[in-house]
Amino acid sequence: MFTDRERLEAQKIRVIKDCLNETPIDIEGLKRCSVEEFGFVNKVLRKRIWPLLLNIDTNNIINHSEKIINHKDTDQVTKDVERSMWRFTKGNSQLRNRKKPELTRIVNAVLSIHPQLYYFQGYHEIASVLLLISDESLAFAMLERLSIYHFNDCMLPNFAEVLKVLNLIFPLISMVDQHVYNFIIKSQVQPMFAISWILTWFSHNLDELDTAARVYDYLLSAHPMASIYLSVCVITSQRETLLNLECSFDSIHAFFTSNLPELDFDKIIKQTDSLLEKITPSKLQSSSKVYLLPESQLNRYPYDWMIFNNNNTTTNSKSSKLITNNKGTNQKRQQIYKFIFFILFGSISLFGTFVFLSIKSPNTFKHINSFLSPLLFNLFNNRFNQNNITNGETVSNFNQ
Amino acid sequence: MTSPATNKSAAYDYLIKLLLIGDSGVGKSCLLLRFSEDSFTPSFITTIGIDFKIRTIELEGKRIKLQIWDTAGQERFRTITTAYYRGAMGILLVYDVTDEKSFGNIRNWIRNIEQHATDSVNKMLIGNKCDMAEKKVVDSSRGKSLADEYGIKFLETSAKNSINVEEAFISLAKDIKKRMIDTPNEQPQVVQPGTNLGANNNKKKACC
Repeated sequence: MFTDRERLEAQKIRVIKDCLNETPIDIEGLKRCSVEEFGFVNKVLRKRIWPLLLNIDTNNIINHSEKIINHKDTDQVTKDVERSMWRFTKGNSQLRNRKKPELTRIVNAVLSIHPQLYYFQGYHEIASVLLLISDESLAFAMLERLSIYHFNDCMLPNFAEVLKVLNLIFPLISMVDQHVYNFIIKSQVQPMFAISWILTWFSHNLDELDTAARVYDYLLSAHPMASIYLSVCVITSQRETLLNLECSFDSIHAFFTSNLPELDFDKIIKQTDSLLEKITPSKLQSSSKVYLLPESQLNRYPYDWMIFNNNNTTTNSKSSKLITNNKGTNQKRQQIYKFIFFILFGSISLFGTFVFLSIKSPNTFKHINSFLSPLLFNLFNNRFNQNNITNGETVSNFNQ
Repeated sequence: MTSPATNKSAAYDYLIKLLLIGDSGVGKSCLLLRFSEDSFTPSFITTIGIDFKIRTIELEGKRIKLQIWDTAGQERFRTITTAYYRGAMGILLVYDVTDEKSFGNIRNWIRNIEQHATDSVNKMLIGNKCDMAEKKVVDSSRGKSLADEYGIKFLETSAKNSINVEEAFISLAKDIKKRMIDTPNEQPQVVQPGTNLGANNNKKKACC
């Protein structure tokens, strides 16, 4: 006999498989699945879908081990890997011992290939989740992608941008739950308690790999600032307990930095997603007056590689060419829209004038009409043809 | 930081705030776990950001609640952790006796304290992992002379074998008690039982 949960999971798997079976694969459908109950349900599906969400060209992943050199954070990586993966490999030391060298390799490879990226403590935990769900090669490619985009602000020479991200949390709470916000402000607690949530997408704070993977299902599918929104929804989900705490800096800090209670992430993720839709990241920045750098990757979503299929990070030139093409197409389109607007507006005005004149002084109208009619007819015909040509060019450009 | 005078479980007379700093991997979290829960685990995880644990001790008939803050060792976290220095009444500077570099960095950590903590803060130098005699590279005498140079106390500890851990925290707490409670002239405000020591003059600086 199947339990209710198993039945629901089976239903969900069918929906996910439908998305996967479409040609091209229905990425938007998969993103919706990440919000709905159970996310991508199991490890097999996650291993297939996570690389799709990050548009990893699985046939062309480089041999990362060859790229490893001694870099500025090699020692720190060694120290952190040594004390990692305990929770997610509980009771399975064999798996842990096998995975640790892989973890070291993928982290060191990304840092060797991209010397502009600075390692931070917690980065190895993101890598652990990717590694335990997929395999070494896929985990490397995904980690590389996330490092350049989603986590780029955490990998700058200092944490200035991370502090800004943290400072967006309380303003967002004020827009969701004024009562909780007032309580938090009164306590004088700083948003530092959430730093590991942001830096590791909660994987540092969760005991079970399955739960961490469920959170990743969503965060890999959503806007890269979704972790801020998720943090806020986690905080407000604890409303009752929180408001009963002593209203002091230390008690609130301790409450959130100690192990998180069992959270209903399915519910919290749904709330997060609607919050993200209601208060967009740019709106959040403008209303809180906390602005991330304009060049921040967090402000550049959606990313170029999300628009077209079959590009990977290592073949950037191709994707950037496509993006330039796409920008050109957009500009042309805008010009066409403007043109159409002027034509329509102009003709309506002219028509209005004719009607007005024909009523006021039919004689003058007759005179003007006989003069203008053939002229206008020609003009319209020409522009219409021109439009058709420009459109045709655009379409062919797009197809290239 | 607010006063816990209205603490729901005010089972203490004074609150003392301590801070653990030092390079990554020297064993700050292990020292804290040994002191607060008397345990040691090899399955330790990296500290990300800043966290604290509590232990209430009794000193000369007074119940002292020790709130001990543990920090991430990686340099890039210092922007965040230095904001917490100001609230600390005592700071434990930890190095690893098997790691020369961590000992060399103690001077940087002291410079950090001078910049961000209150001038009167009590400090103590800790050389951890003293159980690993065969791997020891920092001789005790070097630790001692560095501590003497700064006029601070020094102890070698082992969180793993529970050597000197208790002594380190309690000795620091005693010094703080002496400075802030027993000789209150140094302290502008009168310290009332149940109050948070230094709540007025050690107001925490906003960290961002």
